[in-house]
Amino acid sequence: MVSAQRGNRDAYAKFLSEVSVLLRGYVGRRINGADEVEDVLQEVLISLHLVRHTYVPGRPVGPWLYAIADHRIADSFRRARRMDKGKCELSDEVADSGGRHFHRDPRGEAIRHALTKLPQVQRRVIEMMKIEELPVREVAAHMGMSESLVKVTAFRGYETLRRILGVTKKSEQTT
Amino acid sequence: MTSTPRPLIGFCAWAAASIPLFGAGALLVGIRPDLLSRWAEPRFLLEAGLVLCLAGSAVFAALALSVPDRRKPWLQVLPIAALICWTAVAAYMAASEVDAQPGAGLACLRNILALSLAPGALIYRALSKAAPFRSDLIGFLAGIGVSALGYLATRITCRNDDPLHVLLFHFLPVIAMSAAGAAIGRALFRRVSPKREMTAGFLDRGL
Repeated sequence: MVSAQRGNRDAYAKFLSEVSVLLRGYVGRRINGADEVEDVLQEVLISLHLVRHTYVPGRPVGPWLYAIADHRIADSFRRARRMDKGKCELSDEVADSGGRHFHRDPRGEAIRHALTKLPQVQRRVIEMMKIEELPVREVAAHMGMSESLVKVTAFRGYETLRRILGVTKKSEQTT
Repeated sequence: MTSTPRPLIGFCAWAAASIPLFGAGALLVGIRPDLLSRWAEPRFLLEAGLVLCLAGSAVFAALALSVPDRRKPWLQVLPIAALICWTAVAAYMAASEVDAQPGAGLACLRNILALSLAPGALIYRALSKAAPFRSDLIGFLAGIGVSALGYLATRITCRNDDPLHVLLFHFLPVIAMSAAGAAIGRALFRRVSPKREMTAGFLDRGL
């Protein structure tokens, strides 16, 4: 690490490849889902690169390394919590839009029309989750995606629907 | 590439640059003529001591927390404890004064803000060059440290010691500036703590 700070690119590359192995295991023990583990690992490595100047030569590199990883893992958990909270009531309306009142309800018609404007993958994911009421696991298997990617895709789809329909989240509404 | 200075060295460097700035600012505004007699009062000394403790611990905590392997629980606890004590003292003094009159205070608001600007710029610049992963917490600590010193500098210029005036036009601005500090931290330290765009990487793989 000291050599890397002095500009030795070979030493830096070797350092990164060695710590990647360590960090993959460290992150993998704390986060579920291979895709999410890889994403967080990439964030840790990027952060490590951005703040490599904060390592003080002579101090143990382990605490420094794992502190960076801990921050990124905590950020990942915060993101996951935000995603869960951000599932707007619109998702319930989408589910209702596939129900028996669908054709008579102007709102359902608007949602169905908005769904057609989504990118194909987002639309298909939302239809399977909310109209066909398939569990995330089955949607992931059908679409050939990881479960975390299904959730992210659905989240993005809800955001797009909200924008199309001009719906604001409860948290954004002023009292 | 030079390493980030150790937190204590960074703190000393910042203090060495900022204290003269606060002093010069206070001289420019005008030192209160009764300052020497006020310093002899235990209440004034207690308040000044608490504020100095808060300012010093908050700025040091911000610097230390922006280095990944310097996290210590007491770093966050100490400034919060100092803030709680100071809040309790300020509220007690305001409540115990029966005939408290706030008086005019916009000049005090302006002074606290103006006195804090340059030292605030210095500390946020120093923090942005480190690793402020907890951008909101570190921004908050820096904000409260800088504004607390601005408060102290204003107390040695403002002759109005009415507890309600101090609470409304000296203490509350510090709290407001601390909250602003958290927002400034979130904006400035994005380099290290970016809000990851949900589209990056994920949808490219899936679409």
